[in-house]
Amino acid sequence: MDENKENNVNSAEDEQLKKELDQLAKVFQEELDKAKAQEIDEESEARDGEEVFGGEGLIQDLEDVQTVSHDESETEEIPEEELCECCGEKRRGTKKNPDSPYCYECEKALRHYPFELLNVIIPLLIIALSLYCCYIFSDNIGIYAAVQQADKYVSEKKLYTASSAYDMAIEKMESGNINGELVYKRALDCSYKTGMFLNSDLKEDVFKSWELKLPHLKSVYNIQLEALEMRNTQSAIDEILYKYDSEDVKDIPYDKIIEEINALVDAPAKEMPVYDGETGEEISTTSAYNIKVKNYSKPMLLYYEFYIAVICEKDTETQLSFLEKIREEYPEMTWIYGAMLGDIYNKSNKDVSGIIKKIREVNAEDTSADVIEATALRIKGDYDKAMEICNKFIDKEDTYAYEFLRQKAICQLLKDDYEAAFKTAQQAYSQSAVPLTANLLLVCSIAVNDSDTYSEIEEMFKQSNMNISGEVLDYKNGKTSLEQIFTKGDFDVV
Amino acid sequence: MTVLYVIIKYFTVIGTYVKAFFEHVCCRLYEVLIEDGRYLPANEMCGHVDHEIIKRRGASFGVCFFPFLFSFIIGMIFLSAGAMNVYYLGEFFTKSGYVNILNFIFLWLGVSFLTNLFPSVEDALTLKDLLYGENTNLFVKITASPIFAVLYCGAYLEKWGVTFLTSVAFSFVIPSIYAHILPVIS
Repeated sequence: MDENKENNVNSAEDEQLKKELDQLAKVFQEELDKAKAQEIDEESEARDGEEVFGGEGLIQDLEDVQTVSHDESETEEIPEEELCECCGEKRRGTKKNPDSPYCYECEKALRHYPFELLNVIIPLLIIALSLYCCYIFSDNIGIYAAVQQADKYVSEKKLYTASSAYDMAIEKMESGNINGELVYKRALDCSYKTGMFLNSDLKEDVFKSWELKLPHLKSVYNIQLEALEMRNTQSAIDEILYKYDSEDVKDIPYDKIIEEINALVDAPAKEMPVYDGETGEEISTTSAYNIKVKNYSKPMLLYYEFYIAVICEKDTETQLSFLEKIREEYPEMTWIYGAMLGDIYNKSNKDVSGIIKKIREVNAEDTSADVIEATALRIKGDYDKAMEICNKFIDKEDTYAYEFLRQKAICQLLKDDYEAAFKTAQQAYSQSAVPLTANLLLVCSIAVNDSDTYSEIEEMFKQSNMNISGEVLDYKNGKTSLEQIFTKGDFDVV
Repeated sequence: MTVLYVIIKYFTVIGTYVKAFFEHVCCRLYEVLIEDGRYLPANEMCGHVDHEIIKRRGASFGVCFFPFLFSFIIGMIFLSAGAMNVYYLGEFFTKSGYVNILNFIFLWLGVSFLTNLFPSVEDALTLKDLLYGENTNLFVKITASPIFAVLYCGAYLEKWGVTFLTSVAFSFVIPSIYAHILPVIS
């Protein structure tokens, strides 16, 4: 029994010893593994410095991983839950991050994830394209700046300057072979507001006919249509007036002409002949402009009614009625009614501030507003202020420069400075030899007793088959005074 | 929402792809572990590379900011030429009457890049934790705040596909911006 007991104790001791030895072997093995791993870590870290940024370095790393993993798998079996998530062969965890799901090599490889060929080619192509894009953009900067300058003038309501700026921008655009439709559109908008579109190029070859139906180019369509309607109206009115071309003013049948013009309001428009630029053959408006003109232009018809009323020497109220109608229905068309309406208002001694404001609102460079203002001040007797306004525009190459000179000459006459008035009137006449300037020069020549100039102008009137103003003749005959001519009645020599 | 996100990402595929490429490059530079290197998976990671949670503040900022910066620069180049030629000059057709494809490509590329500027929401949140955690000094917090705000808000906008709308809207605004700059640079 004792022997058996002793044997049992020995076997228990042996078992315990065996267990201890096993544990020691395991610990030793673990330490050995750690030492090996540390050695590999150090070797890999040493290789870090040599590694090049790119795919090849990484491919080399992955091969190494596979070799090491294979060696290890030959020597030791690793539980599945401890295997690397990436390679599935080596023990997961690294020295720095023992909880990592990847082995050291895989983690290192994933930190330098490789690029595929396409990954690099596409960005390189894009970068090359962006450089080309930079080149195009810098090449066009001059055009953008020119257009921007023109846009700036439009926003400042300096429409004449803007129009010239657009012309320059378009020139640059065309030399750069750029077909900037929106620039043409803005240039057309600008010329529409100044009334210049009536006689200028409508850029019909720039836009495609189907494009004009799209919302962003609708205004181009409207402007082209308006221009063609106005041109058609002019032709239609010319046909009506042609019959009375040789008639004396008194024999012109005002009512009949007005009736004929009124009949055009709702009448379908007759196509105006257009001649092909190359062949010279007559083509229809529709085929020339891709736009079908259906009606006559109402503002243009009203303007012509006013024109007929002026020719037939109808009273101011009749003349005003047509212009007021245009103003009411087409307030933005100051180019068609502004100057005339202001003139008639001045001659009727009415308040012109509303007209001046509207003209400047549409086009700050429309000097007809300044003419109206200077005339109004002159009529009020504020000659110095009137002359101050006139002086601003006299030296400029302004369309109305002759009118500013004329107003200045009247002011000088009324201030009894006849010599200066005579010189100013001569300047006005040299700029524009029209009856208005000629009659004023006659008045001034009478005032300074310059019979040579008077005879010269008188001869001009005879040659042109025109009559000298009755007010001039009355002044010459001493029947009226300067004050009566310029401060009463229509305040001017007509 | 993911469907819309993926549709927008695929519609702006070039911007998506290149943004992911820049993110990839930054991850490599900062040694950030990339778990999925695909650029265009059809999920919420489309346009981003799937990487580990970044624990270093500098790396997190770099991975969020530099792809944003590069995409923004390239996007602005394309959008400037595209928007100015299409919206400002109206160069829809060439002189010979053909559609000016190049201008529209530039415009699309510009919109495409500006749609894909921002980091993923996860990256933005990680950046927030690292920038505004306890261990960050006040100076860094203040100086990084404007960029962080842009990246953080942008990440959410991009997640909901709003950046596509904002970049299209921005392309319309570009000519007005240049109207102020051009007199100075020309």
